[in-house]
Amino acid sequence: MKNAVNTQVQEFITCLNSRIFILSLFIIIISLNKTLMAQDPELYRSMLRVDYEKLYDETKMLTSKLNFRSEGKYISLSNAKITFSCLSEDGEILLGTADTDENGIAKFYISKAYSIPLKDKNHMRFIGRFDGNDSVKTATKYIDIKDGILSVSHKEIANEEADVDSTNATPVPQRVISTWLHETDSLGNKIPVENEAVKIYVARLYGLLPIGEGETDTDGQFTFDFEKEIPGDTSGNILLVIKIEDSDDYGYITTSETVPWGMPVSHNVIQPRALWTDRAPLWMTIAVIIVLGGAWINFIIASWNIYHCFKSHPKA
Amino acid sequence: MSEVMKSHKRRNFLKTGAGLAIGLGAISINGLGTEPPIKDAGKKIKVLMPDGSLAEVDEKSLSTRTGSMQPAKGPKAKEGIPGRKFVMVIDLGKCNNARKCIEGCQKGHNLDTSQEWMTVHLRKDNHQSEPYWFPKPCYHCDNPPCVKVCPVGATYKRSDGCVLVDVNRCIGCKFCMSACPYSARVFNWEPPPKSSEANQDYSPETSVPGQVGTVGKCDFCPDRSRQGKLPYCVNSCPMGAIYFGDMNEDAISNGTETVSFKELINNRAGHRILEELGTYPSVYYLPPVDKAFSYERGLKNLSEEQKKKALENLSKY
Amino acid sequence: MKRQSIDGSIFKEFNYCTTPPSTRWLIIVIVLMVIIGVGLYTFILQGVKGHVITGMRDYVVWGVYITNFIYFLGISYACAMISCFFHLTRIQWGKSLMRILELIAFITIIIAPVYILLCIGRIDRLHFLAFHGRIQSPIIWDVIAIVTDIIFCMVYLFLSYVKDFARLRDYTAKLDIADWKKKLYRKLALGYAFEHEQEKRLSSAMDIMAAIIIPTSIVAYSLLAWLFGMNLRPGWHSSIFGPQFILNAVYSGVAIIIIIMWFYRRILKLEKYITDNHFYFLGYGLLILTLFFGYFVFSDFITNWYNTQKTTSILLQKLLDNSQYGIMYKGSLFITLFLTIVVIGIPQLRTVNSIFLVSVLVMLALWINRYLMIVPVLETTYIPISDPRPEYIKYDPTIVEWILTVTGLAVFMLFLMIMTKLAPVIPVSALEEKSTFKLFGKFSFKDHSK
Repeated sequence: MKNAVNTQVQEFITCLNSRIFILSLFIIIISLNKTLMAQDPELYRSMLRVDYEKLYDETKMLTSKLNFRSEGKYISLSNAKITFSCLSEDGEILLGTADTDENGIAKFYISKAYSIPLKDKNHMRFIGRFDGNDSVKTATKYIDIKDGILSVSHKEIANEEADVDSTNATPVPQRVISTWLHETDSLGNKIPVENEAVKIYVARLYGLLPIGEGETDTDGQFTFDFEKEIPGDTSGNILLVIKIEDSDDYGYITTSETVPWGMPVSHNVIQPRALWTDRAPLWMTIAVIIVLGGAWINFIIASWNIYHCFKSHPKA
Repeated sequence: MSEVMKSHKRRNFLKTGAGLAIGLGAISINGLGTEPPIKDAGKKIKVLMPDGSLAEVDEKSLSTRTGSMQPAKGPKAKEGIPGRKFVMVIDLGKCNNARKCIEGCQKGHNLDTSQEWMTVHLRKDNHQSEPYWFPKPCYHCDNPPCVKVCPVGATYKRSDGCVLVDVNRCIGCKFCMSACPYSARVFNWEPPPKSSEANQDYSPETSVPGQVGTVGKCDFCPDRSRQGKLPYCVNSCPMGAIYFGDMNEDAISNGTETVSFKELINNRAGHRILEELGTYPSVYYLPPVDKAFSYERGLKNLSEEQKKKALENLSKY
Repeated sequence: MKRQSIDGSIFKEFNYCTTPPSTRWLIIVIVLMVIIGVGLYTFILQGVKGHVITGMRDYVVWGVYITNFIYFLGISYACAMISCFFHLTRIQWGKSLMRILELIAFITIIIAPVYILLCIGRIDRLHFLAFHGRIQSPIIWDVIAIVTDIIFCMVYLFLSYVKDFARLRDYTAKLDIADWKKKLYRKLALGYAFEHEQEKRLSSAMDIMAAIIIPTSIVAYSLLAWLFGMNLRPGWHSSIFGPQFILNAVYSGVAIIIIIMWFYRRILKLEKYITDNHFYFLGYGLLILTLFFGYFVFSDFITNWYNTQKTTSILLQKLLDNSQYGIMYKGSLFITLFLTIVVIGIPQLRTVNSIFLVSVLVMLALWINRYLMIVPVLETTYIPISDPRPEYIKYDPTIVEWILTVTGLAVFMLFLMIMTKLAPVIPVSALEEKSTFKLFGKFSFKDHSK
């Protein structure tokens, strides 16, 4: 046993040694390469990533991120033209182009009205292409996507069993969000999709707050018990966002559902009488009036006397 | 539509590998394009509007929510974004004094490099404990000592929690600076750097352009919140140490993750600085636990002067 | 029934106000004018270049200016209070000091607010205080109090002059002096003719004014103390601040009257009216106030020292550390709590000149005391400022601040010198009134006419 471990260790060390050798060779080549580059500048390698997302209104969004590799780091390439196309049985169809932003991201939208041609029985193929420029190489990336349909519904089931221990007289109803993921075959049959991860979020000002996740069952369904107390709008409505994320087959699918299960939040603005508002505390205002009034009333009486003192004798 | 599509098909029939598009710019007809096809959208989505109601808006604005809203000016700037109550949470375990928040803030507010509205201090809780880096913006207190003492109402507390300064009103008496127990305010002893033409239109929400002889401080970037963007410091932090959000929504975000404010504060022992002063700050801290680095690493980002001062302050504990 | 027959011969003793100025007077006035000119230039310079030319920075946002503000305002309120006290009690020996006190009170309350203007970054927006004022702000409390006090002081000062103007009008009518001056007296007397009704009205007005100036001054100076006390800062956030400020003010008021009356007596030969006893009486007052001062200082110190918060202990450390404020702190306490008590307390050391010298030192010590109330506290915060530059961390007043401080003194002196040319600095009319209160009955002027 001990020997076996020893051999293993030895093997590992030899392996490591050879790796170090290869690594050093590699470094030499790279450094040689660098000296050569001074005379003959080589193009940077580029990396293109293409994502598919189906949005709320069944608009499809193609997102591409373009990076190039320099000194071991990926740097996003901005203002680069990305050409998007899709593949039909007849060949490639150009969809259009979009320019990358400062983060190297280009977005392209395909409306619900446009029917995307299929590559084969149920797959769409989207191709992103960067044609390269003076210093960065070309890049091409395609993704194959099936059109998944994600539907959501919510219901409230009155809870019959009253909690005996609870002082609460009315039982809390059970709140359920049901999601169903399916695809449609060429005959129009709805085929449930199983084992896809579904995430449930609440839409908030700066992003989506995750509240639950799970996988679709054999019926393509995932049901989620909504139990959390989440602030809603003034009447307690909250907007749920339900997503399939980074699925190999379906890309991203997003849908939304408004449920009245949030805690109503009052947004009444009150300006109390306080030191830090525009309105001073009452006692302070009264105190100022009393103190100032006290001083100035005396001054007015004195002024009255002064006035009469000099009025009666205008000139000596 | 079909005719145009056909022409597209004819003209753009490309062999695989042919590579180049044939002289076509961005296509935005027939629902294809770089802009979301809002007009065609059959379904609009509902979002929580700033006034607290749910409304139907286009999908495009889901991520930005209040995209078209401009920074408020004049008396409107005193009102605050309806329904919001901004809050910040800083995870002291994550800060390694990269100072990117300071740089982002200075760039965003057009500040001189010597003036910091967002600051990072080296702090120690007691003489036994390990020092840690301590980012400090303005705390936007709910019982703000600075607002109390302002003689002309140039600094004020809004319904959304922001304590702003109107430099068109400020007389530069500096009373607010001495009243602030957190040293959050700075004075423009010299004229601030010239702003770009685009930034000439002053709003207390943008705090740009600043004015000599007046007081400046962190403003919680409400102009960015109107566009659904996080404050400059939050966006600039490479460690994701700063969370910002809306207490009414009970959600805060550091740009990459959105979490429940209450859960975070309760699970991670969130606290506020100098709670006993009764100022009720809007900035919470998570204790400096599970640090992945030593505090010394952050010292390299300081100038000699700053380092000297930081270590001097440390010796007071 | 005009009492024109009143003997004007008393003015012969005060002929300095009816004769042309001496060369010495003119030279001093010119020197002071030059200083004030330089001060005006510096004032404008600061207005143009901004506060950056002062030593004030993010820690010490006010510095020497606010020290001068507190200092001059304290003198003003104290002198007004003492003068009104003398008026109301009709203390015979106090009458000869009343005008000097009023003059000091008036000029210092004019000078003091200028220093607070120098602390304001945007003087061009001063009118905002009137249009956008918030009653919650201690600054507004102070603005109201100071405006009130300036008006009260001016009116009171004028009322105390009226009778003397009327006498001077009558007296100079036949004298060979410049016509403009005669005209000035005529105008200033406002037709006062010593009629019974007039006297009654005037006396009543003055009594009312004197009676309200005392509480107004106390309130106004407490408000100034609270301007600091309202800050959540170790060293300031203290309920003793109001009373301590009042005590310090009265202390400085007594010291300054000793100094000024010493000069007046010497230069204007007023030994008949300002006697050695004046010095002794006020010296005793100074001694008692010193003890009160020490009591307040000790009370403040031991409370902060015995059980101390961390930031407060850093502040105390700064005050005691000789490399920081130790010398100033201990020096000012040495003058007030040791020198004053020894010099005035021991009869052998107690002379007119020694009392005068101690008063000068007390005035210096009290200035330092105010400085130490402000600057070290501003430098000691719960959380440090972020700016690491040395000038931001340690306050170092620049020449601009010192020039403007000296200018304040110059204006003070110039005003007192010019006023001696207008009317006697001894309220002649008041002296002739019968003393109704005989608190110091044994004291009379005749005893000291040697």
